Amino acid sequence: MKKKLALVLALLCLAAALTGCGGKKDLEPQSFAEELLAGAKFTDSLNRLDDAVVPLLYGVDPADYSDAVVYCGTAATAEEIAVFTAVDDAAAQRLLSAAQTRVSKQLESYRTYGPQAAMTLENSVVARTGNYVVVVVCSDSDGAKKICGKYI
Amino acid sequence: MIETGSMKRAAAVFLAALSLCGCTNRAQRAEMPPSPTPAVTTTPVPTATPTAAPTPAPPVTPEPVELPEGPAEETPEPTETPEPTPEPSPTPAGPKARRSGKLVVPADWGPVIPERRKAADDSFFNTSLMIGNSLAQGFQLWSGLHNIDSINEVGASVYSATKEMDLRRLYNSRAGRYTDIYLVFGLNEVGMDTESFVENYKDIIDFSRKFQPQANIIIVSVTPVTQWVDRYTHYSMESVNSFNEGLKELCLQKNCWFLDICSILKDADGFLSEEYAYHGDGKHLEANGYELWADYMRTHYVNDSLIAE
Repeated sequence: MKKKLALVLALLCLAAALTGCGGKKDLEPQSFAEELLAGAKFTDSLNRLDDAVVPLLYGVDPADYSDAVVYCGTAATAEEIAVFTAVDDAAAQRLLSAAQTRVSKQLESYRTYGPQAAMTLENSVVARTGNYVVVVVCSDSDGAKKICGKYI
Repeated sequence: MIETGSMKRAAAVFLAALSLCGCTNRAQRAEMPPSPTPAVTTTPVPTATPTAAPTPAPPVTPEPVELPEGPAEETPEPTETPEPTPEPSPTPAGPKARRSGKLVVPADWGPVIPERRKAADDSFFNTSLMIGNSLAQGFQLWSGLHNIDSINEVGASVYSATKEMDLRRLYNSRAGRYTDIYLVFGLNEVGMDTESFVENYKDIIDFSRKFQPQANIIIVSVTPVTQWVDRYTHYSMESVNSFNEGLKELCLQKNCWFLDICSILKDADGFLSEEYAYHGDGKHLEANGYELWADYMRTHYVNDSLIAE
């Protein structure tokens, strides 16, 4: 009886440890984007981009993702949020590469707009977690990274 | 009381669980890539062409007016009848378009594309290309006319367009690909010399014609700025209006058309309407401004039928 009790206690500890593992929240693209919009201080007016424009902007193949949540500004700034749900591992890698290319190109373009724009891009988040590829360009880079850190 | 042996087994299981925890999810996560480091490219500073000096025109100081001396005798001067204030120009008369080779070009009516009787379907713009600055980028993002090809770069100007923009989509395009090429420049040049701006605009017109000689070249007017920007920065409506008048003249010289979106974006006082302005800088547009621009294009377009209208 005591042995059984000890074993049950040990199994409970194991289960608790595994579920609390890493402390990261599950990423849901739309909710994540909304949390960023509400929690980080964006200076531009960001609106959700039409799905048809996303491949034009990022140079990606729509077959590589099942969902893309992209928010862009007025072009006055480079602020942006993008979350792609890749269809598989290889697609996620291609999307990540495309995201990095986009941010690099934006950095070259926005240098003419002054140091703030360049700094915003240099402090951007371009990351992958599982099959999600995330891009966050925000002048409040600390605020954005704090939110991203809960998921990535 | 729990036996020592059982305690040891429980502790061992617990420690095993902790060590597993460190491995499981990290296997799912790639390392956060470092912030992208851009390739270091040396962007050549646009050199002034011999005919162009992109420097703002010096402010004009009005010369003091010398008042005429009064007559010795008090003979009243004949009062001059003031010239009547000219009435606003009515809609220009005359044919709107004519044929010049294979092109449909402005006729007596002038270069401003008139309102058409019938709105174009969005598919009309399948063979259109837009080249320009951040406003062209905003148009691509928010106008709803996603089928228009776009070459745009933030900060692009008529001084840099043919030297620094990636125009491969244009010069790699097959012959006859485009029926209309819209040019969107001026926002980054406002405050500079009008003559220099207009002169340098010819470069991108000629470049476009070189690769797509059959296309209508449509110069999109320089867009207005808000009253706040006009008052406190060098981006003045005086400069915007001067640019646009210069561009209309250029259109007549170069057989181009003029899309007057400036007129629809202005408020009653002649500044960029607060309804469409991005308030962060008073120069760029909110999404609804681009939608308005697209709606205007649907009713102001060029085709052969314009010759008969």
